[in-house]
Amino acid sequence: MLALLKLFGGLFLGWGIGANNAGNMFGTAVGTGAVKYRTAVVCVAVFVLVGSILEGYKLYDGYKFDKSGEFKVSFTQAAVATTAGAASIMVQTYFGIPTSTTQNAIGGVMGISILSMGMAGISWTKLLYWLVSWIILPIASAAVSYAGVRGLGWVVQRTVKRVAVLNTIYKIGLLVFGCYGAYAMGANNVVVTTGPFYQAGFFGDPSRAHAIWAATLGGVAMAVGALTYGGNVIRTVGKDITALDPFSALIAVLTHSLVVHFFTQLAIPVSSSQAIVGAVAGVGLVRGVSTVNARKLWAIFSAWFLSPVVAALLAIGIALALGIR
Amino acid sequence: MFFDKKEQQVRQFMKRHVDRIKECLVLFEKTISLYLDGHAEEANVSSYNVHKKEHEADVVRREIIAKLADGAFLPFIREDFIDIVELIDEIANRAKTVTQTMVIQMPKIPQELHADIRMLTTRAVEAIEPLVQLMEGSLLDREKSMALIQEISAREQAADAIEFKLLKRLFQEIDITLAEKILISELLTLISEIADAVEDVGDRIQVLISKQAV
Repeated sequence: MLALLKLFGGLFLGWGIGANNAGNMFGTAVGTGAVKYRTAVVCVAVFVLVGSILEGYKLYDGYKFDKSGEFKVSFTQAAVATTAGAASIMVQTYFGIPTSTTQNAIGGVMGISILSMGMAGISWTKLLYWLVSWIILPIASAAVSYAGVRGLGWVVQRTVKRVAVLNTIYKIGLLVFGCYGAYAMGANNVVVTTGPFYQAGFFGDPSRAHAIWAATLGGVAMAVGALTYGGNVIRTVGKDITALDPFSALIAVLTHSLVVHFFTQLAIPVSSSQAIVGAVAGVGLVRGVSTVNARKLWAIFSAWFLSPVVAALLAIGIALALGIR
Repeated sequence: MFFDKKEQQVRQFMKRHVDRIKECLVLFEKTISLYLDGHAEEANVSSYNVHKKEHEADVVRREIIAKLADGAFLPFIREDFIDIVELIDEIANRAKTVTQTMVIQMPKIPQELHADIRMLTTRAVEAIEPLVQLMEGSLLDREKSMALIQEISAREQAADAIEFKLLKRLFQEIDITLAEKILISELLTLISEIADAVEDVGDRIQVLISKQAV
């Protein structure tokens, strides 16, 4: 229990990710009535955990920013990094700035790394690489979903002869792709919950077994987030996106999952929310519907730049205040 | 299949619904025939049977609506199914109106119009056949459905043509009072409207089919 308390910052981030992102993969499914609300929440919880356990470990060893690759954060630093990430989310939410849990969490780790190693010890190439990935993510999502609607739309138009069959395809598709999305999100995002603690040796020496153990714990936190608070977000997102026809929704959810899964293979944690916003923008382009408003764009921009910066500064501030270096 | 259990049930109920409507129309045709044959009392009983059959169809309609409300089909087509069921039900309502009007007003219909009225009735009733086929399984298969919808439309036009010819004869050639002419003309229009009601269903199904476009 005491151990869990020590991990609080990370588990809190996990809870937030689970709660906030549940809507990304099941908002449309619940909104269109294809999947029951309860089913959706349980599916997110289960598949987030499965994703964390099966593929989450892939990101754990790379979750640091030192040039040498030998820097080892202390347990206290890990706690500060995750707590700063969580605090940063609260600060930005307080000021009404939409934010990304993942990118705030990463900002916390960046702050600690900068403080410990100085500007010279940081791998700026890697930082830049990640930042560019974040920028590419929504754009790539838009492109993939655009192509998806055009390509799969062409295929479906020629093969599916009955609207009842289409109805069944939508029902199954929204459920399956939603579960896949939860799986991909779990695998990709779990690292920000217990990654810093894994790096600090909390789970033992870095090894795949220990990474899986760390990811399991983070996955449970995300699952709990989905179960306790995910429902509200699912409802909100559902209402937001149901202006889309079911086929567009299906492609948007599939795109989200594919793109997030792709970045998991590159070991780069990304924002599930930005993937779905990009994907919805892509299908909107095909339909001639403007699905991206100024607020959503601002959310993405602030998450790219403001979230990591605020979280990093907070991490540095907290560490300095507590006399941790 | 597990995923479309509710949808399968809706389709079974819709098939049953349209069967009840068809049975109602058969009774309707029988009622008209009995009346024209001069069996007013039997026509009266038969008219009551039309009413009963219409009620049976109503019961099935409510079951369908309940199933749809329970979540059968996604909302993007659920409304279409509700509309279609309501429109199908309207066919029986109109049949009931015709037979009731007839046995209440008991218009004197000149012998020389009988053959054409029987034909008009048969044509109007026949319009339901393609709809029954639609419900028997062709529904929602784009090409087959479109062909059947066109067939409904053609049959409705055939009924319309007979109605027009009849009305013209009624007002220009038949020697009865204007009041009698008006009563008969109203009855003819009501009979023809049964085919119109079937055509309305066809048009609504076309809207549903157009939603296959992705």
